[in-house]
Amino acid sequence: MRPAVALVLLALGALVLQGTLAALVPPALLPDLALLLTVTVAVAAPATWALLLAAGLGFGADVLSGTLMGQLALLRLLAFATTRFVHAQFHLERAIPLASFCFALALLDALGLAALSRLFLGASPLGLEAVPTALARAALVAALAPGAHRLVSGVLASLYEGDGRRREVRFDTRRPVI
Amino acid sequence: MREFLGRLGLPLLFGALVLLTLFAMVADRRVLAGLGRDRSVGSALIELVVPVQKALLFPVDATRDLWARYVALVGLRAENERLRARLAELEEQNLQYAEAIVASGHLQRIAEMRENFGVPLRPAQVVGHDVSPWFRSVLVDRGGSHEVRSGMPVVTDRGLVGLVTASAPHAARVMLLLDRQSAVDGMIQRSRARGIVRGTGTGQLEFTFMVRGDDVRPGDDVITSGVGGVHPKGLRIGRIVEVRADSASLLHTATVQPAVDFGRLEQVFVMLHRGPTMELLYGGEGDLPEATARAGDGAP
Repeated sequence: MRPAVALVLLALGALVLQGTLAALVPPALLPDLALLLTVTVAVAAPATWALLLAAGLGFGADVLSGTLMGQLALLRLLAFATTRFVHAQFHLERAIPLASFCFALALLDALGLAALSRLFLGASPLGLEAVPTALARAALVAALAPGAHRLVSGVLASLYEGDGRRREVRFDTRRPVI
Repeated sequence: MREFLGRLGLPLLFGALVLLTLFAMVADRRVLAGLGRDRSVGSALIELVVPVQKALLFPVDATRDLWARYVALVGLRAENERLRARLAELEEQNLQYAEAIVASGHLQRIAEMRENFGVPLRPAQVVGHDVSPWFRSVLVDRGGSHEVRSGMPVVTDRGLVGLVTASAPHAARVMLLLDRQSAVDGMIQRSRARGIVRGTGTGQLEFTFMVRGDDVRPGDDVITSGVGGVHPKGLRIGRIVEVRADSASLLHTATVQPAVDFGRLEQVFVMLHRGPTMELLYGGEGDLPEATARAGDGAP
């Protein structure tokens, strides 16, 4: 239970922090924390939790953004699926594969956003002038990815350990004496 | 069966969520590209996030304020003294001129704007920016409980900022003019040439107009035309900086420098009035606050 609560808090924290940072730093230096969290949780947490978190993060970002409702949610779900698939082929726990993957995924995410906007709204929020910004953001996400992975897996590991210990103790106390 | 469901549980959940996102997008698209989420479940999240963001931005704003008020002014003391002396001199020479300087303050302009348009203005503080850098919207700390509704124009003393696109009880989201989804019917103040002002996603706007002689020039002011029934007529949008002539096309475009400095947007004013188009879109007067309905009668 505690890991699930921690994931929800991490997701809320990521959205709030991203919204706050948006007021302070230029778009090129604004890391996509929601995408970063989706990837790191997809690598470190059980699949169902990671899937629900990806959907929650996406819908949350949709509410706080000018996107169509469901647009970022769909992209986060696709990011989750891509991460799980790639993680099964390459071990994304290692820093370099994870950073490379995040760089590519951040660029694909921007392309996906443009494509969905074009499809549903008839206009894309990204023009050619957005390419340097998209590249800079992808590089930033890639640079932050190993640290974010260590943080998320560390938090989850410590909470699992705590939960496991508590369950063990409860189980032991209920065991018949004879 | 249980094992089968257990094995397919995750793919089924994934499929269901993907269908949900597609359904949400289609539904949202039908409500005119993202407008009108007043009663959506998302308002709860906005309500939750806005106070936290406000609290997070408080130390930043306080530091900025401290710097602007004290630290940055240390070196300006001498100049300040000189300016004070100069001001006193001007006051002696021309009392009316000094009066004009005071009248040019932004509060005065806001008061004039309120008088000119006959619409109540609700001050609001910008407390958050769009979490996606590809879209240009901000969160403000006034919402439905302050009579702020979707479809209401948002202004500063400099001019038009954008439109409220979603509101929660104590917060609202404002789509800025800069957003690529934003389009405003505008006209050149000098020549009355009409066109559409669109956001480009960058710091500038694009004015698309029909060619009828040399009626759009750099330096011209662009204002809202009032056509389209969304914004009142006469709100300042920006100034033409460049006209791109394409002889092969009937439609020309010009680059517009917005009147509002969107990089330093802190306080804005929501015009508590929705145009007829927004009224039709949001289903009549039932959704309107009393003050707005009253003001709407005299609005241009």
